Amino acid sequence: MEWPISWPAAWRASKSPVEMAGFSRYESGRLPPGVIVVKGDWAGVARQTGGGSAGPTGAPWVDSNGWRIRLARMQNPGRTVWVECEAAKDNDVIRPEQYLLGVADAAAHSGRWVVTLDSAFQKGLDGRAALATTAWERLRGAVKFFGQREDRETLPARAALAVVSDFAGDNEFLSHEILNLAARQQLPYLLVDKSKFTRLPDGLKAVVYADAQAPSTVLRAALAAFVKGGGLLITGAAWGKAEGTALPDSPTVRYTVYTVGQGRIAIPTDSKMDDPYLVAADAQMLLGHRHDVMRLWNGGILGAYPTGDAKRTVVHLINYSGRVGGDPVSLWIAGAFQNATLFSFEFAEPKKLALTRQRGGVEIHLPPLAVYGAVEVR
Amino acid sequence: MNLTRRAMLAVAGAALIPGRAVAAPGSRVAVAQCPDYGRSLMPALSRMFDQLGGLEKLVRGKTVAMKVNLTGSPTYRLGYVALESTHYTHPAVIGVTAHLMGRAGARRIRILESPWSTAGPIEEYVLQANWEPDEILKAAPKVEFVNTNWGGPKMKYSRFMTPNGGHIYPGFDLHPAYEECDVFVSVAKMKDHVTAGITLSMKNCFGITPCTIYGAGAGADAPSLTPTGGRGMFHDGLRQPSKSSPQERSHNVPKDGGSRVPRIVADIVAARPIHLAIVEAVETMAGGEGPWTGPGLRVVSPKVLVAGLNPVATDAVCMRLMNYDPMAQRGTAPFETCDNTLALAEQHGVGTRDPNQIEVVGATIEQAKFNFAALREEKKKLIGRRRRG
Repeated sequence: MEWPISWPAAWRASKSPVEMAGFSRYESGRLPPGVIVVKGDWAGVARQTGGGSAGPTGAPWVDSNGWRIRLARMQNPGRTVWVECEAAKDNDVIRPEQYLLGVADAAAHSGRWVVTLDSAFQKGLDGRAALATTAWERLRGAVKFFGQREDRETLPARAALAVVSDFAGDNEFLSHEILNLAARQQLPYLLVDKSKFTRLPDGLKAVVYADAQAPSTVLRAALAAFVKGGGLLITGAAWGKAEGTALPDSPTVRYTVYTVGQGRIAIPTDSKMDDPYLVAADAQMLLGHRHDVMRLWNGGILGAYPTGDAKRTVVHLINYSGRVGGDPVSLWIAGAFQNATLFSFEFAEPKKLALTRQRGGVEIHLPPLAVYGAVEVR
Repeated sequence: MNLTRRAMLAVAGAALIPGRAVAAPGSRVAVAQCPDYGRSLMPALSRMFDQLGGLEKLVRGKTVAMKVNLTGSPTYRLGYVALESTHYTHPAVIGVTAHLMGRAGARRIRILESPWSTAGPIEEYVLQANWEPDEILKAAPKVEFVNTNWGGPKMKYSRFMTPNGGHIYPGFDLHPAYEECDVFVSVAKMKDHVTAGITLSMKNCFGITPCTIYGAGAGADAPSLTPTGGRGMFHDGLRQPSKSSPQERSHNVPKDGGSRVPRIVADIVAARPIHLAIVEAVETMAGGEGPWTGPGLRVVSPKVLVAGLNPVATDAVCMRLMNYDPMAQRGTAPFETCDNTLALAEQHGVGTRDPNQIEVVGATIEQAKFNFAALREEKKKLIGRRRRG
């Protein structure tokens, strides 16, 4: 991976142009200490000849590296995660917003995106073309914004659902795609690595355990106690026969729901748990919306990553279209908050936002966002 | 699939209905002005029901099914405005009506809707709109929500036949909740509609049809397990319902939405009669039926409620309140590009739209009128300007 041969004059003259621009330098095989690299995608609506592509619902297919970064961070505590994507091909048309999306999508999830400029962009910078230098300034602004390393980007995820897995081996595909597709459906989740399992996080309402193997004795005991205490366990054949009484109605026809103690266990009617899209969709259906930590109206293909807790929540919003949508967006966050602030590299200063109390939470009307904003409520 | 007693009666009754326009007897329609969805709402609705002869006579000891309007996704708003203030039937109207039904002795009250692309619980759907379902469920004893966008967990449907064979559909297969009720109520929002001109108590019933049979993802031979997509086949006729259900008539069937949708609505309300029509517009929208129908949409507060025992008469009064003519023909507002649903329902003998045959009680038309027609003209001008660039 190479940085552009030429940089704008101010940086070209510098001994360390990359660092001056707010970047770290990455050359293959020479990583700074404490950094790991994962392979990822260009964030945004999936690029395809003739326009975007669609997912199983007909909605545009969105690529995000958020789940990869979160998984890598969990598996490599204390290390910084960089995401490396395939470089754009010479005939690819890359909009400036796609660079901004790559940066924002990674940073919102506490990672960093390795910027590899496409050839047209490089040539534009070489020739000091106005479009290229403007795009470069915007990219630099975004990098600088996230370079301030505010703790907004490092708060823990806020969610009512946990996905428990070893995320490896036979379970890799299914567990990874569940994370990917749950995020796509704006279903917040926490990650729990069963290979290092000690206890379930506090405050959970539901757990997905979709691994092919039966849980260990310790994990099984923890999950059973979670259910008896009122939690919902969504699991497959590996759990074995569910104790308890089958409910006559289930929120989704694909699952039979058993009451056990104060809680419930949901097991697929056909014992199969092999379609990650359905696992994620059914998890939302089974969990319900009573425990939502956030809701979005007119969210379109916004990605939302809620973090923090009931005292301080930050919701990272990433507009994967890279364009301001036609419909104004409203955000509801569960909790009794007093004030709201929007942080974004799209504005010179943070914006104080009005909030209204609405049914156990606060509702905030957002200004147009083309790429990224973090709404912080306290 | 069951051929129900109701279907048998409908088939038998069809022979008695002559194949021409039938002038139904005149109906009484109650109109009330209501400033908001707060304390004024219950006395206003209560008074209107009394003006119609009292709810008790209609619902005591009966199972009541109330079809409400929750069109579109619960996460799609017109601007920042709550869904119930623009295109959803307001939960206060649903709750107060259920409360009054319970007080009048209804044995069981079921709130029915076929929400967008899901067989999930309605409670979950309305939570996404930021409603609290318990406020409706606790409005009276034995209130429940039923998602009618499929055949329920037992995958069973009830067949309703259309008198006269229908303009387009000779019959429909619906969720059994539409049969397992003694009283069927349409609780609609007063709105313009881009395809059908207006959407009132009858058009609200477009959504009683399950998308497992009539949706984009409906099974070809039999209903799909769960519903997906919208009812495109009703608009364009490009495909047929699942083969297990009544198919479109094979001749003289139009292919444009402006002809098809009004006909199908008329067929539906003839097949599944409405006993009580309630149309609310304390707050609503003008220019279309949902936020997806822009540009030129407006949030408006007509502050009016309408109720009647006949849906055609009720919708006719609503049209007058909107400053439209219920006798309007295709080509004139609000039916610029569609047929008049009221006229088509009238042809089925469902009721009359003729103002001379309808008694309006409560507020007068002039007192309660809100000029949707003028806003419609503004929308047309806006679209014209945009097209001209």
